[in-house]
Amino acid sequence: MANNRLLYKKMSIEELVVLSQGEDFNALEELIRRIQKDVFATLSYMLKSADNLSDLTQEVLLKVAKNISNLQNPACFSGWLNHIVTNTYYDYLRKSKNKPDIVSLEYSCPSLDFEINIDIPDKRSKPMEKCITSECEQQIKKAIRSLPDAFRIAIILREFQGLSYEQIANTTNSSIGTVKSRISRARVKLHDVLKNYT
Amino acid sequence: MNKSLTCSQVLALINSYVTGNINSKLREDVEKHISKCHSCRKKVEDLTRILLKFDNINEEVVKEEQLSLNPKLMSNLSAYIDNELPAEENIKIKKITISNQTARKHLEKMYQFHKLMQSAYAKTKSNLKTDYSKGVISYLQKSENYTTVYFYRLIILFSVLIVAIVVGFIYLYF
Repeated sequence: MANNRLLYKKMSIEELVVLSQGEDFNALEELIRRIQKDVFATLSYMLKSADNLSDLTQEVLLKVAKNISNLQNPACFSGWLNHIVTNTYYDYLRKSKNKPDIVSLEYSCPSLDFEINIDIPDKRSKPMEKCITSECEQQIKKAIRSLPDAFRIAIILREFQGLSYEQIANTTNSSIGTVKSRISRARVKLHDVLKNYT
Repeated sequence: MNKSLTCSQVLALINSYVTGNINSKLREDVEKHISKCHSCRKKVEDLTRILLKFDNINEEVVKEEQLSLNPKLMSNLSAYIDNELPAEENIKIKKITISNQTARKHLEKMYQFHKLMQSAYAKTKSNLKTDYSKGVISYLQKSENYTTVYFYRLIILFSVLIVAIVVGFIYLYF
């Protein structure tokens, strides 16, 4: 049993996705374990407070588990996952009677050729050691949460999930030009707020 | 009367002369004077040099203001670090950052900021101490069992209904 677990731990995300689609619950469990921290952290920045963070995280993970067989192209798993996260967040906004955004529930993979990079995009350099205190993290979170919804989601999907502009446009039902502008404006706003940390 | 200007008079006119906002006749008079007076000529040259420097600084400040106010350039810098620019725009941005110090500083700031965001994200991820995976799988398996049970119940009900209808027909006609 322990050997089995180790086997799954060594598998790539794509392998786990394909096995999960074949109703391998061990693979599905490992997949959930692999993605849960990312889902948690992403929602943590999308939400304006930590109030429903745990519930929404579980909701996303359950949706992934229930619908994994509906994913036509396992190579699109990252985009599909972020689509679920974003839609779950939008649904939550609608229910809280905040300003709703209508997003398509269908996810069409923008391209079948690209390589998925599930990991955090910048592998070349280690994260800055200088500022990973809780206080600093809270300041950054506060700054991101203060952004308007559209800017916040665009910058989160770009900086934290490493999605391309095309993927973000697909997920947020907007154009690539709009995504480019939102990310740029979000960065300008954040630089202004966080200038003491750079 | 065509009197030459005195040094004091030239000194009074020096700013107007150097900035070009001077009456043409007076300009001639100043030029006549400085062609003969070494001291006044030196003062004019010094002031011209200072103003030229000031103009250059002003130009850079204006350029910087233009950069920070130019949303299109900022947007392209932002897309550049995301590797989302077409090849042509990419080259343009590279050239701009080589020649323009302000643009280069903006770009460096963006890269620093990107690393900062990554650090913060990694810290947030590490804050999750709960493992949801077993709970999710267990919930899924339970709900699958429920679905199966309800499915079979429906099949049985449907079958009973069909049998009842058939029996009813048989009873009616025979």
